[in-house]
Amino acid sequence: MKYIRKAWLFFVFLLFYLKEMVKANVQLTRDILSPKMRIHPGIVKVHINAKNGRQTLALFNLVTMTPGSLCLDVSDDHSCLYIHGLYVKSRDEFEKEIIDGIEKKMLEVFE
Amino acid sequence: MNTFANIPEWVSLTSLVMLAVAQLLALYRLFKGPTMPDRIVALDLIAALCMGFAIVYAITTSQVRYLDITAIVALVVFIGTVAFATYLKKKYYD
Amino acid sequence: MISTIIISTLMLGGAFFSLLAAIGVIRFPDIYTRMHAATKAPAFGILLLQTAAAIYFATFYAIVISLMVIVFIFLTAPVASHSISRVAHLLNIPKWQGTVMDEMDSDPDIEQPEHPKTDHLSET
Repeated sequence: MKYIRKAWLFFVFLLFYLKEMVKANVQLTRDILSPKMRIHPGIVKVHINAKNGRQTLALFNLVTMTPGSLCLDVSDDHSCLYIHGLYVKSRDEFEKEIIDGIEKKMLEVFE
Repeated sequence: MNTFANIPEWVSLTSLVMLAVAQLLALYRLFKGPTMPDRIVALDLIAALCMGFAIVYAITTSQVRYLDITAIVALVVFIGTVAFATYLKKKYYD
Repeated sequence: MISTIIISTLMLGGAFFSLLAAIGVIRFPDIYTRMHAATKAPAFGILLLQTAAAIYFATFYAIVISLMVIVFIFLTAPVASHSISRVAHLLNIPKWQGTVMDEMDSDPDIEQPEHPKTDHLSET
């Protein structure tokens, strides 16, 4: 029963991943084809709650594939990620978006 | 052999033309790219476009064996990109 | 008939996203934003094209190869972009002038360039 539940969670996670992927590409299309660049790039240091290596890897992949963010590096003690965002309006808002949106979803699956 | 769906010719032609234009643009970046990492990015992109060519060609000619190319290119290019980056880093530290 | 339409749409979409990646690599101003275009769009394009191939051939062999390549690409694209961006930051590649902030610059938690702002940008 436990494994069925896990498999179901993983399937839902895959659907979420696909949705994010499509969203990211639509956004990228709009950005690239619009005649004027409306991007505010910036590199933000985000403190993450992921504990072991597996969760960090999953978060790393997920952040790279989500709209407007790209993982650059992991700090030496694996407690922060350096994320390059395309639309960094304010630092805290960007960090909150990553922590509340993506990481929460990820921690549910890879507990 | 006629069990496959019949793809119109203009679809595969348009796909091939789009991929060719993309290949040219990536080549432009490869030649012009101001710094070395730009060129690595362009090489990575060129490999992905080659995989696209192989898939479209496999569909056009109905030969499933051409799909093997994509697997091999994917494996080799990942190692190549990481090796390039490691080489640049090592050169920097020397 | 239905499968023809699906496969044609997938092929055109995959080719379009590959073209989009190339246009983005040309248009974006610096290496980090270029990597945005060169990481997401080709992975999605290959996903669409491989799905088209899997639907078209519909044999066990084609489906396994397609799944293998998709999983491999989606696992390795972030790693490749990570290794490139790391060396780019180490080499002090100049950022676009519109960049809002850089918290990676002179941060003690990761390795920093030993002699900053030298001419390591010059290509050799």
